[in-house]
Amino acid sequence: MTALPADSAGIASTSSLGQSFASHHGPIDLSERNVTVPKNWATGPMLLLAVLGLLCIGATLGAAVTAGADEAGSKAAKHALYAYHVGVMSIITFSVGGLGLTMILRAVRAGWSATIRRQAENVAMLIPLGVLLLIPQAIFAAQVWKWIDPAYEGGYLLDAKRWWLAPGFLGVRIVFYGVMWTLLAYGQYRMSTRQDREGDVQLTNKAQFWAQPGLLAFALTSSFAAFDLIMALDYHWFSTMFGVYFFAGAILSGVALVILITTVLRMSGRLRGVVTREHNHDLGKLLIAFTIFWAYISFSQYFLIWYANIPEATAWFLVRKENGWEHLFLLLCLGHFVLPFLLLLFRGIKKSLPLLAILAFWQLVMHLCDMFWQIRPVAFMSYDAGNPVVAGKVGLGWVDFTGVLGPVLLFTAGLIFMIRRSPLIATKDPRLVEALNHKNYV
Amino acid sequence: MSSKRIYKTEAGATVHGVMAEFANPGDLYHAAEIVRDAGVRDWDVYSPFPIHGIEEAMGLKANRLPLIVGVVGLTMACVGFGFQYYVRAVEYPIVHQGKPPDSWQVLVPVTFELGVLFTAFTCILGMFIFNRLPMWHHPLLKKERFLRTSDDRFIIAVEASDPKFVPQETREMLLKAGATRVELVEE
Repeated sequence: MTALPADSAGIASTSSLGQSFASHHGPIDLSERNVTVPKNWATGPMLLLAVLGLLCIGATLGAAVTAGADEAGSKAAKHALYAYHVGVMSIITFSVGGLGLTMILRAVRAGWSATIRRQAENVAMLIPLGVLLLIPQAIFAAQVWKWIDPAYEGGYLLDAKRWWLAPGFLGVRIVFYGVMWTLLAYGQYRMSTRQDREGDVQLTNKAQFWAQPGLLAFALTSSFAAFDLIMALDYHWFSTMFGVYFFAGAILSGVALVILITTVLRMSGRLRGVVTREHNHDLGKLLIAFTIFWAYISFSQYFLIWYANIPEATAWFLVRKENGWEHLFLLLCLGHFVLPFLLLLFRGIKKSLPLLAILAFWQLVMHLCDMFWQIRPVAFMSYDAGNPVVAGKVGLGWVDFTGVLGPVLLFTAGLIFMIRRSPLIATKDPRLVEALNHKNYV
Repeated sequence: MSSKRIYKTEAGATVHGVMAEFANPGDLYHAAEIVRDAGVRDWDVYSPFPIHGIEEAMGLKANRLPLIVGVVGLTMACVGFGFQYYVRAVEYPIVHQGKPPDSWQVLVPVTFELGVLFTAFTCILGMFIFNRLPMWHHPLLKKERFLRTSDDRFIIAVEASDPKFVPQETREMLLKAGATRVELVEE
């Protein structure tokens, strides 16, 4: 099936099985009005979000800069920088999840996804934003990573890792991850949007081909990024599962974002009959699958460490199970897994536009909590003979809200910018007919 | 199955129903819609391969298997958790590997496994029960032409147990629906 008329109202009848198979969504509208947004769409909200985001980031970093040099001041600076780190890592995981989803959908040749893949590509294209927002962390490196000072006495565990955590090497690696992800995201995006303009079917084959080595590179870079950007905040701790844990959270939020974006677009009167309840159903299945995956991975990590009971491994969990952090721990168990799992078991919820969007939003909020629980305790950690003993009280401050919201708001503004740049679906995808006629046969 | 009429052939055999052949899946699909709309209850469609959307054309409703599987799976997960907890923490508490006897973490793998195991069992068993399997014989299998449903023929069979079944009328309905050939099926 090649060279489809993109604006043909009768596109449904080109299905090879005859018209009665193709008519279950009614006539399909592929007009400009339905599958694109105007170039000036939502300019107001976009600018507002961007300004708010920049203000939040400015306030958070300002708090870090203006903090005094005494002990209370350095604590306040650390607080602000760690809150900001939570925000930046959240949007990096969002867009890394979008990249993973894009390449997986390509690699498995998911025909049904031709109408939703563009939004995953848009999410992935925001990777440079997240990576660039790490620049302040490089400037404040001495406060974020206290062991970065070569004179810091970190005991055997640090000495053994010095070569890997050397500032220059660490910086080069982080830049490498950013460049690699950006290239992968841009490559996928460009092949997809070029097809919109030129209609060349071979671009689909090319994108599928590159998705395979791309996934390999993606798996390695995202694992090591998880080690370098989150796990290394506390150099004592090590978990070989951590890279997968990072990926699980990322891909879950990537799916949730695609659900939210398509819902917003459908609520604004677009994608009618293009993204249907059937696509919702499949996205809902992916959401429950990755919810289970996240729970499986995070429990596996916890369980092995709990069972082996080796002090330097258990410390990471012990400090996150007291001084108020245990509430967040419980919230993640129940809110990030049990509740969404039980709700998403029902087909009615997966097929419902508002309910699935609410659950997707909920999972994004839970992902922020997950990031917060992983990163923020390190800010107030106290050590005894080099070992983490107590994470200190949660001690929520306004910087926690501005630090997390700033990057997230800026990311949302970036999403609006990306959504306007290209059609909302891959308009000349050779599998578009399959996607438009997609139905879950059960 | 109230007031079951029994039809006999001239040779004295009991009539099981009629089977109608169709040339292609499209014809079969449309004929299935006609039979569905006629309100026939005891009938089925036979095809060499799955036809997407046929369940809608046949008017099949979703069955309750998912609900049963969900309830049994979750129940057995709870039973698995409860039984382990009872044995380890209440009936015969042992401290081993320095873990408290009532630690929940150690119970999770078996809880998960039991949940998955009984979900699978219920799926298979429920599938057998809902499909009335095992079915060792079926009158249709005696028909030479029926065997071609595993090759290149598409068949709708309406059974005599259906309240709306009248041999001649059912036959005419199927012919009108596009059947290339309609045969009587004996028990």
